[in-house]
Amino acid sequence: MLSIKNLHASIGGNEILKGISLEVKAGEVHAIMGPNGSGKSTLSKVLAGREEYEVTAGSVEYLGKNLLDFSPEDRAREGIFLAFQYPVEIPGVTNIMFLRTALNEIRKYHGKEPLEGPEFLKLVREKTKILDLDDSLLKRPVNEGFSGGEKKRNEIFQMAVLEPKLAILDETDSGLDIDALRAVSDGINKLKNKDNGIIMVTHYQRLLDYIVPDFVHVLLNGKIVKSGTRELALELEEKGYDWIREEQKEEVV
Amino acid sequence: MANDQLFKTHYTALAAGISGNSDPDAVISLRKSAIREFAELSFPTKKDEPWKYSKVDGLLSSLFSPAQNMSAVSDSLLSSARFGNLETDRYVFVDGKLNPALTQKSPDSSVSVITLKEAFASVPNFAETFLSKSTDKSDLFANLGSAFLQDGAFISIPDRKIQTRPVHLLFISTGNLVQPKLIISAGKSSESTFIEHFISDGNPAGFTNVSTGLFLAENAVVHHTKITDESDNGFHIGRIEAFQQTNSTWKSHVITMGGGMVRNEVTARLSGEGVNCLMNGLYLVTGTHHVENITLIDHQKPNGTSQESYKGILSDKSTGVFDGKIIVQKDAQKTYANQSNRNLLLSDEATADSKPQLEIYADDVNCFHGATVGQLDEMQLFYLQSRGIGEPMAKAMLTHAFAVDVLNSIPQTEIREYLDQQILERLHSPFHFEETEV
Ligand SMILES: Nc1ncnc2c1ncn2[C@@H]1O[C@H](COP(=O)(O)OP(=O)(O)OP(=O)(O)O)[C@@H](O)[C@H]1O
Ligand SMILES: [Mg+2]
Repeated sequence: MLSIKNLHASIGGNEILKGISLEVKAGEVHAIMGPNGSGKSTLSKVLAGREEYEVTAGSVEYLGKNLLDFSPEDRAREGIFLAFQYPVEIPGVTNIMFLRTALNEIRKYHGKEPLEGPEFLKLVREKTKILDLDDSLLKRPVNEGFSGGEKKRNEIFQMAVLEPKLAILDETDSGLDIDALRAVSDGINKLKNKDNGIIMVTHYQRLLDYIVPDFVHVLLNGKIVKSGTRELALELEEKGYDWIREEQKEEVV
Repeated sequence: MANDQLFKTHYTALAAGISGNSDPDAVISLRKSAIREFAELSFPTKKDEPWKYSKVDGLLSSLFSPAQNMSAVSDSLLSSARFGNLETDRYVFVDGKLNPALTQKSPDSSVSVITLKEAFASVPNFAETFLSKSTDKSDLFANLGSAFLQDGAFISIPDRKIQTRPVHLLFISTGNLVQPKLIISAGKSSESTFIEHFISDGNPAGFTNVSTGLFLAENAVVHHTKITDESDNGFHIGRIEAFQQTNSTWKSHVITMGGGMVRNEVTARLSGEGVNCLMNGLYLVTGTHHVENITLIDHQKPNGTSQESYKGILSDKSTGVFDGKIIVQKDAQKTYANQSNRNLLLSDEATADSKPQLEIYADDVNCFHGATVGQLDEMQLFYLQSRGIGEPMAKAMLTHAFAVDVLNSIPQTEIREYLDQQILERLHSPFHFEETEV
């Protein structure tokens, strides 16, 4: 469903993504790991359409269309969802209003009637239960004053309501306590099916115990330098990234 | 300064010609002295302090005259100016003149609304106690108003009365020189809500020059909301001055949504101990329009608090001005004052000038102020868009969010919702405000 070929992206003349290629098929779960600053969030945001980053080369095809031609809102309407590493606080907009507006904008795009009142609430209730999300968070302004864990949970709650086709989860597991990790993983696993794709950016193999990836990729200095299966994640957890850096040097030589 | 002369000649001639034979002597002499003052004062220029960023000079090239007779107003206009299903006592002023035929009030209302003429006849020392006190003799436009003194109302609420039904003072301009004078007198321990609401019939050129004096007796609570939404081709200058006695509370909201050139001057005199003053303002400016807000909070006695927040939303090529001063006099120990002015520029060609000022003569006080001018936050915008919300709607949501807390202190939900709706319309928003119950 997603085909990234030789993607280069830069900001302020600084190249951050230096030729990324990645294939995600429907039904697959991909994990992306890599040291701080290697470009994982940049890749996620470029896919979601953040215009601040300039794509200088390469292509991204999503469900047979050129993704880079779409505005951020149209990408979301076409089924792409980014769970932010740092969810944004929006004072003055309640979480529930925000979510209802988003859901109905997406529905409108697909020619569906808006979901209002009791129907909408029913959906919300269903999803808050899965994520064990406190009702009071719905009435509060989006992410404002939410704890780190609450923000992450709220991202997955939004995902659960919007039901995307391709979810990009940027360090959704960071800062979660054990119960929250389980709730969030439940939310993600509910989305997992043969038609959907999931890209999970993570630093820890812990999450992968709950959501088993089909592939694990290592992103280093703006490039995917190694791909493998679950075992690669275990190896990384044990040995860190230095051995991969070494391998890279040898290849260059 | 040929224009300046023309301006003076035009208005002094008109004022002198007012047929006021049936008016009380006190009114006639007030008018006469105001004409003299008016003729002597010079038209404000950019060098005069509170006029630095002003655009009142547009008034030099457009001269107006009072309406000759009372215009009829359509039912549709009247009903468009309602706040949902909110029950109010409504008084309609057409070109500044109260039209009693359009009054709608509850029979058990405790608020009395009478014309100035009636006030002169029935209120002892009306001129000295109320009129002169709330008229700044050094101000050109205040004198212009007094020179034509005739229209407006005297509104009073007796001691200890709690008036839950808001009093809606609806001013409809048909495009003339409109100069009402309002006096509101709130009795001891009374509580009341007033909405001064200015609209136009159609889109005429006109000049509204209104002056309001509020007198709050001990422990009185007054909620006062002014909504200016007149013609794009119009000029509006409004002066509001409140005199607050011991432990009184004044909550002022000045919402500017329409008008070619609007100047709001809002002054609070905290002349008793333990007085509370809330001054909130919102100015939504579009096109090539201009809005200036000049506020003054004068802390005269100890233990007073004032909380001021003015917010501007400026789009297209519009301009907005905030010039707010807080004075804490020597006697006003233990004063708490907090002032803020924030501006949101929705276009590269819009400008906002902000001038917050503190003048503190007491030593034991807590005072803060701050001002910002900024744009919509890119990250917030992207976050909304990344959830499928289109850019225009995302912008409207964020702009609305920026503005909305200024309205939160208006007690009536219906008025808040009405204003919300109006704001969204001005932003050409596809987004409609409707709270979701959880
Ligand atoms: N807006 C920006 N301006 C300047 N530099 C940026 C910007 N965004 C990203 N970068 C730089 O690009 C590099 C990659 O950042 P990115 O956030 O993608 O890393 P990451 O792999 O997600 O790291 P982490 O694991 O710490 O989240 C970093 O060196 C970062 O400083
Ligand atoms: Mg990151």
